[in-house]
Amino acid sequence: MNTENAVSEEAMVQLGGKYLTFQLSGEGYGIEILKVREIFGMQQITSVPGVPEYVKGVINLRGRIIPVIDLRLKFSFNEAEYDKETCIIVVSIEDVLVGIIVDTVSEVVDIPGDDIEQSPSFGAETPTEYLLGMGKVKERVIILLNVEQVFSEQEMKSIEAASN
Amino acid sequence: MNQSIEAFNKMEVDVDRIATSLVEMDGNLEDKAALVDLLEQVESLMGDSQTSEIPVLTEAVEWWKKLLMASLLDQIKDADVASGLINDFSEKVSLLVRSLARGVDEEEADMSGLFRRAADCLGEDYSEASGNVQRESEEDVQRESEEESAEKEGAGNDLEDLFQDLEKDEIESQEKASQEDEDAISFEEDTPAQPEEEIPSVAADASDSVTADASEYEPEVLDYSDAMFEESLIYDFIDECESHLDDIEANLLALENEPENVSLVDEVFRPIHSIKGSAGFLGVKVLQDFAHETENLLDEVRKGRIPVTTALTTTTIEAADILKTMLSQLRTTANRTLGSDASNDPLSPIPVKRVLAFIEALMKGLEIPEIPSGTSEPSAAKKDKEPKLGEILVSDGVISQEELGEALDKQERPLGQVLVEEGLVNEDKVADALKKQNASGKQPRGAIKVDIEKLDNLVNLVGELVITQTLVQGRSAMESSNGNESGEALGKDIVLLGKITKEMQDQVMSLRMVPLRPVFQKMNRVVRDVSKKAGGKKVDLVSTGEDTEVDKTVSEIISDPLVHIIRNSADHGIELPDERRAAGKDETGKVQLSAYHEGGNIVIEISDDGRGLNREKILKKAIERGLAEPDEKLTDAQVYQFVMTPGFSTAEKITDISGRGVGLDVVKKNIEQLRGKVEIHSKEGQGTTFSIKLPLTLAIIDGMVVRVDEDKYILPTLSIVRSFRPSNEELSTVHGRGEMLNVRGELMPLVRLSQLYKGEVTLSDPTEGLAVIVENEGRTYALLVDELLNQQQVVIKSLGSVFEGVKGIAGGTILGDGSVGLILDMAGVFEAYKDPKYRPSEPVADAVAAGEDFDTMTFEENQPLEEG
Repeated sequence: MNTENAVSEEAMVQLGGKYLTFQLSGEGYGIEILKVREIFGMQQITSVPGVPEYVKGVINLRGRIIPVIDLRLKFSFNEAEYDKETCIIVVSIEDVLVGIIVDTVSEVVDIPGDDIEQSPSFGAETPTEYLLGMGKVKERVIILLNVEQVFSEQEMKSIEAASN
Repeated sequence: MNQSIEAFNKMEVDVDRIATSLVEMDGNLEDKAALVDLLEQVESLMGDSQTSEIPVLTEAVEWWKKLLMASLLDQIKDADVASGLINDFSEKVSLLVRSLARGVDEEEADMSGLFRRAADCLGEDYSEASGNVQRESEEDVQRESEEESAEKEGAGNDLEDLFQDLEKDEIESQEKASQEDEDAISFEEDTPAQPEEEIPSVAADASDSVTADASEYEPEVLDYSDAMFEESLIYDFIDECESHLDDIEANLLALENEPENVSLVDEVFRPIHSIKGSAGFLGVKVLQDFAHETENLLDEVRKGRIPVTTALTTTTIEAADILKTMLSQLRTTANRTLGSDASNDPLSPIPVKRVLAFIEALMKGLEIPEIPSGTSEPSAAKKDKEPKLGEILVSDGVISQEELGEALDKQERPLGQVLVEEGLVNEDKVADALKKQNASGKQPRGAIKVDIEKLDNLVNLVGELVITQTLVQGRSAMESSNGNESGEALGKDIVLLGKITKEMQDQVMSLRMVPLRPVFQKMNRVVRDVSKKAGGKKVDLVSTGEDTEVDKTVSEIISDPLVHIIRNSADHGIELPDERRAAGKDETGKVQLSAYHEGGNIVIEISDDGRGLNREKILKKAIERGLAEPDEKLTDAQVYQFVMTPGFSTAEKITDISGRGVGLDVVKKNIEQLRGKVEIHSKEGQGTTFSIKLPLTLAIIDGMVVRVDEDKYILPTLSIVRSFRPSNEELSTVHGRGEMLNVRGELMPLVRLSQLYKGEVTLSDPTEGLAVIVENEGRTYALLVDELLNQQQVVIKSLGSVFEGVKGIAGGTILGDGSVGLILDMAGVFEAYKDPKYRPSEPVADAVAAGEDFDTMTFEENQPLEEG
C-alpha cells in the first residue's frame, strides 16, 4: 500500500507545470498548456446531423474544419446560453485539433508537482479517468483534465457509433 | 509451396545467426563451448523436413557438421584451414539458402569444390565421403515415421511446383517483354553496334592473370536498341537511376574517407541492386550486366571478403561514372527514338571493359593492373555536348574550315549573320543549321519528385486563395455598385487577379494529374489471362484515350474496378467462338476501353460486343434475394444496378475468374469513393457498356449551395437533374407519412432536408420552397430546400474521423463568408432517408392538401416508403 502511494505521488509530481484554467459550471478546470493551440470567442458553428448532443458541430479554423464539443454537455451539466464570455479552446490531441466550449477562460497558472494530488474516488458511477489529478492554487482546487481521455479514440468512436 | 519458401526464409535467419557466432569466434577453434554451441545450431538447421529435400544442402550441412565435430575433437591437422572452411561453409550455405528461397539453385556446382576441400582437411576421400553422407541422410529419412515422409513428399512436390511456377512466370514475363518490344518503336543505331562482349566470368580460374594490354580494354560504343523505349517508363527509370547514382557517388566518396564504415557499402549496394533490377525490367541489357558485375563486387565487400581499399573505391567510383554515362546515352537514345531529338551522331565509346577488368581483378583478390588510362575518360558524356553552328556548317560541306576560321575572326555578331553577309552561305542554309543546333541542344525531359503531402498542401492553399479571391471580388462589386468610383477600378484589378488565380489553380491541379496509360496497359494482361483461362475465348482489347489525365489518386483507385469490369466483360460478356459464329458475330470478341472528357468529368467506358445482360435473369435473382419486390416496376438502369450488389451473381457456373459475385460491388465501392458513378447500358445479344463518370479532381467539387433554414448545404452538381418550385397538384402523401412528388408523370419521394438533418420541419408548405431533383444509381429523389444560393466550385475538406459515420455527408467546405458548409453525398442521403432514425417522428400530412386519390397508385408504384 505504501509503495503504491509512493509511486502515484511520484507520478503526481511529474504532472507539475503550466495549466490553462477555465470555468465550467462554477468549477475551476485546468488543461496542460502544451495541449492548447489557441483560444477564441464564440463563433458561428455549423451543426452536423446525426451526432451526439455534445458535439455542437464544426467551425472553420483558418481553412481547417475542426469539430467543436460543448464540455458542459459532455460532462452532463446543464446547458448554458453562449455569451461573450464563452470561449472555444482549441486543443491538439495526437495531432487532431478539437475545439471545446467552456464558460470562460481564467488564467495560466504554474502548479508545482507537490501541489497536485491524486483525484479522490467518487464511487464507481463517477468516471475519474478524465482526470489527471487535483491541483491546489491559492486555496482553490483546480480539476486537471486529461484531454486525451476526454477525447480518446474510444470516445470518438462512440460519436461514430451514436451517429450510426 | 509457401511453406517451403518460409522454411528457407527461416533457415536464412538461422544461417545468419551462425555467421554472427562465427564472427564472434574469430577463427578460434580452441573455444570448445562456442564450438559445441555452433554445432548445435548447425544440427538444428536441418530440423525442417522440407529443407532436407535438397541434397546439396543436406550434404553441405553434413560436411559442415563433420568439420565442426573434428575441430571439437581436435582431429584437425591444420586449424587455420579448418576455421577458414567453416567460415566458407557458412558463406556458401547462406548463399544457397538465399537462392533457394528465391527458387534458384545456382550454387550447386560450386559446392563440390568446397566438399572436396573439406574432405581434404578431414583426411577423407571426397567421393566416398559424399556417398557416406548420402547414405546417412537416407537412413535419417527412413528413421522418420511414414506420415512424416509422406508430408515431405508433398513438400517436395510443392517445391517442384514452385520451380515450375517460377519457370512459367519467367516464360510469361519473357513473352510479355517480347510483346511489349513489339509495341515499342525499335531503334537502330546508325553506327554499327559492337557485338555484345562477354563479361569476364567471375568463376574463372583464379590462376588467370589479368593482362594489362591496353588494346584489349578499348572503350566501345554500346548498343541500347534492345531497351523498351516506352515514354512513360524510360524517363522515370533514367531519372530514378540518376538520383540513385548521386547517392551512390556521395556514399562512395564517404567510403573513401572512412573505409572502415561497412554500412556505407550497404548504402551503395542497395541502389546498384535496384538499378540492376529496373534495367532488367526495361531490357537495357548493357546497363543491367554492368550493374550486375558491380553489384557482385560490392556483395563480396559487404561480406567482408574483399577489403575496402583505395583500389576498390576508385574502381567503384569509375563504375558509377560508367553507369552515369550509360544513362546519359540511354537518354539520348530514348530522345532520338521517341523523336524529340533529331541528331544522329554516334554515341561516344565507353571504357566498359577496362572497369570490368578491374572488377574481375578485385574479385580475385589481385592487385589492380596498371592499365594505361589514356583511353579512359569516365565522363565521356561530356563529349555529347552541343555542337557549334560553325562545326555543323563545315561538316555539312556548306563552308570550309578556313572560311569558318576567317568568319570567326571577324565575329562580333552571330556567326550565321556574318556568314550570310560575307556571301559564303545563303540564309536558308544557316536556318537549317540553326534548326539542327536547336534540336541537339533540346533539353531532355526531366522531373523532380515531390512529396505528395506538400503538393496537397499547395492544392489546399490555392483552393483557399480562390475562395478568398471570390470573397474580395464580391465585396468590391458591392462597393462599385454603391457608386464608389475607385471601387470600379479596384474591381477591374480584382477580376484580373481572379483570372490569374484560376489559372494558377488549374496549373496546381494539373500537378496531380497523370495519364491513364499505365492503368490501361495493365488491362491488356487481364484480357490475355482471361481469354487463356476461359477455354479458347478470343478477345481483343482496343483502348483509346490513354493520354487522358486523371488525378493520381483516381488512377490508383480506378485500376481495381477496371480489372473487375474487364474480367467480367471478357469472361461473362464475350461468348465462346462457336456461339459467336452462330450469332453471326466475328469469332474474336472485342472489348473497348476508352477514356474521354465530358463537361468537367472524366468518362471511362468499357464496352464489349458480347451477349449482354439478361434483364429477366437479374430481376429474378434480385427478387430471390429480396432486393426487389416482384411487382415492382424498375427501369433497365435500376435493374442493372443490382449486378453491383455484394454477392450478386447470375452465373450458373463459377469459373476460375469470375462468377462468385465478388467484384462488381468492389467496382461500385471504389468508384463511389472517388465520388463518381457507374452506369450500365446493355442490349441483349449485342453487348454491355459500363460507363464510369468521375470528377476531374478529388480536391474540388462543382456544387450548388442551397439554404435550409439557417444552414447551407452543398449538393454536387453532378447529381442534380433540375429544380423547380413544386405546386400543390404535384404533391401527395402516402398513408399520411411520406410525401411524394409527381414530376411530369414520374413519381419520386420528397425528402425534406430540414427534417432529415435537423429533425424539424422548418418549411411547412413545400410550395414555398424549391424541389431539387437529384439522381443517383438510377433512382431519383426530390430534395426540398428553402432556396438555391449559387453554384460554385468548393474545396472539399474532410470533417475528420469524428464524423466518419454520419450518413449523407461527404465532407465540408469553407464558404465565401467563412462559414462551414456541409457537402451532401446523394447515396448517403437516400440511405439516411430510409433509415428510421432520420425518419419523421410525426406525420406531416397537414402540409399537403391535394392528391388524395393519388395515394393508392403512388403506393403501388414506389418502393422506398414502406421499407424500414
